[in-house]
Amino acid sequence: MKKKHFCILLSMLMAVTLLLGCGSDDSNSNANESVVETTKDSEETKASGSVEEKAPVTLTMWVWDDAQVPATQAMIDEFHDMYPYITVEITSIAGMADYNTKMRAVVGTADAPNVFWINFNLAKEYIPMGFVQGLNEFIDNDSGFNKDGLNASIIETYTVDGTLYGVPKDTDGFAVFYNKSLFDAAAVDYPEDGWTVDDFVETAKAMTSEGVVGWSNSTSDRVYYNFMYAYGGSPYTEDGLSPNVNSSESIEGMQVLLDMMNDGSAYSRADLDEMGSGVAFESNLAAMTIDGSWMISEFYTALGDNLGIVELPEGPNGIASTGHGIAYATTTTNPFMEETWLFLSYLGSDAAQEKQIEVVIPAANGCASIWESVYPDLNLAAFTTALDHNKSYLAVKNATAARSAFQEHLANMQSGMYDNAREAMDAAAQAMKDAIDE
Amino acid sequence: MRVKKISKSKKKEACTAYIFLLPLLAGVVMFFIIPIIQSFYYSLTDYKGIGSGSFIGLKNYITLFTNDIKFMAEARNTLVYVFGSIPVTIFLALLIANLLNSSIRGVGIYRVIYFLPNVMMGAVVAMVWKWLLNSRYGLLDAVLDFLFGIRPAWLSDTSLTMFSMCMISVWSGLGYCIVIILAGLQSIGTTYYEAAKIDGANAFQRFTHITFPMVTPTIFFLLITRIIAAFNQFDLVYMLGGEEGPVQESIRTLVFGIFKSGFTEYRMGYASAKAVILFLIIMIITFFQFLGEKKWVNY
Repeated sequence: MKKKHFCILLSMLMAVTLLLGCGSDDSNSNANESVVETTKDSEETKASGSVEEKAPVTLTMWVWDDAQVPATQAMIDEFHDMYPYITVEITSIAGMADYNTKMRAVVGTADAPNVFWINFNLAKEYIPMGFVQGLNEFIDNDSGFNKDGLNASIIETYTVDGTLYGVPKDTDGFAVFYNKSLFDAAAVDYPEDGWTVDDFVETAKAMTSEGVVGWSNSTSDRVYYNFMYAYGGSPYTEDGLSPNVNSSESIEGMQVLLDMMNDGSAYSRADLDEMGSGVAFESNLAAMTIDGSWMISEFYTALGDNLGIVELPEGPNGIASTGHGIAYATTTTNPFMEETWLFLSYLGSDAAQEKQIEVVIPAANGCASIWESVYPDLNLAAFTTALDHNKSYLAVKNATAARSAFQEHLANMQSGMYDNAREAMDAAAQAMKDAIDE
Repeated sequence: MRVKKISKSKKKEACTAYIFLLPLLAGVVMFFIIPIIQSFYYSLTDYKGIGSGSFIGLKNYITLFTNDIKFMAEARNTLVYVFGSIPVTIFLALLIANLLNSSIRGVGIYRVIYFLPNVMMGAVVAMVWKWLLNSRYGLLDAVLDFLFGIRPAWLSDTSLTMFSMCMISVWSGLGYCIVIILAGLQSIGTTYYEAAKIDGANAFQRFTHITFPMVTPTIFFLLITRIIAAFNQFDLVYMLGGEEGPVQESIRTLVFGIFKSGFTEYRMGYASAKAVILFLIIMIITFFQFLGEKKWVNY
């Protein structure tokens, strides 16, 4: 008898251990219970005008970059000093794919975060789904929030049908990184801001020698889009509904880069497959590389004083840099909308945005000069001027699938599958159109 | 017709057994069976990962077989990979296990060395081999260049990439197969060998008439499990080929296609259809393997 009871107890224990792993936390339901009290409290206190009587509120915040958690925590701490009754807890989810999967799982449920990072790709999927909260009403009622102080291009991308859905957090841009020691060894002058695409092609050719390639090339569509814009083309039409990669201007831009690859002054796809463009640049194998502002600290660590930065070269239609920025957003089912807006409003201020200059370029225009001082020896102004001509690079619908289609054809073009850029771009445009229309 | 009565104490025993099985069974049902059934359901919809998908019947399957050249390429690549790497792995494992079955000095260390690759994670193996096979700075091409003056582009020449992937897979899978076959070899009684030696059989004859037939159950087990594992190959494809490009196209497998459809293009319904097809393929191949079991496996 005793043995049997022991066996049953043991199985119960095992069952409990199994279920422990998949239980949802109860803190949300507790918090929901206290919402009623909080809103009642805050309504009373609004009337009386004092802040001290509020019940404590805890907001959850989701981010996807561990490296930015310290900066975010600094913002949270300052915000907590301003509003002691609001506590914010960060959850950092490693990797975009995981973040996206988790968000999709909790959207519309009580487990959804109160504040979360959103980027262009996600915005194209989430906003049409209807669960991202529009912020116009809160902005109009908040005199302390300065919308014009944030990067206009990023604001525009997160504005759909006149409604702003996110508070811009950061922005990025492209520039040309070059290796000073390789230029010295080849006795070629350093590139200067204001140079043209022809200068770029010439410099790459001059720098190509035994064991060194002029331009590392890139597998990224954004790098190529910069040149499309520079020649007057664009990846998508104004409304973002059809691809424009096969317009004659876009093709011209692509052909210039394809020619560079064909005459050896840029890596071929085979080289890129074996060794990435960043790795080649850091190993003194490529004289120049075009990459985004997020690579500054990595390149600086690898090359130190040998790192030089210069603006993207100008084409017949000027310079363009495809800019992207993360924003803070909240859900329509957020029970703590008022407190969340206080937090979002703070996050859009210069004081908050300043705290992240070590890791990203803040979207607040007032922080640009402070950001440039992070690496005083580098020409970071090349990036901040790029912010003025930030261009979009995503379709309005099925953005990820369309991007994937372009990347494939870019890869094929770089592997020599097509005779020229026109053929490649015609094929790409067709594939992108199919992806968008699906 | 007589119905056998189960005694009361036996019933109690069975009850206890079921109670013990319950937690594990609950886990298996919740985390495996139900998602699999859900997968079958999603394959008949156009689920996009968010919200709910609408039922579209067999449309996904029709698209797969009539309109998707990538899928055909994936199926072909997977079959080439499976039949290119598994037989080689098992054959080499058999030879090496046979050698390791002797009691020479330091045989323990050799066994450890041969098993080490199996301990490493797939992603780590891929990263290391990616640099070893690099045509400019890799060790292998440095040696080949010194000996023969050639530098084949193992990881960027699309005619060589599948071979490279099979090679890496054989290298990492060898250890596991060797250990299993070794266990099988050690269960063969020495009396057989003694009798054979008395009859005047040489080493080769001993191998083909005693060792190999006695180890067929182990080989059968390995064939089934390794083939199923090979059909699920993803790590190597993603690490060696990246997200797109000619290299990835030359080695992309069915599971990679599922990943691409499901997590890059967010066509979850379509990806589920691919998963169902993969499931059917593996089931059919395993079924045929079991059919052949009676012919060549000696128990």
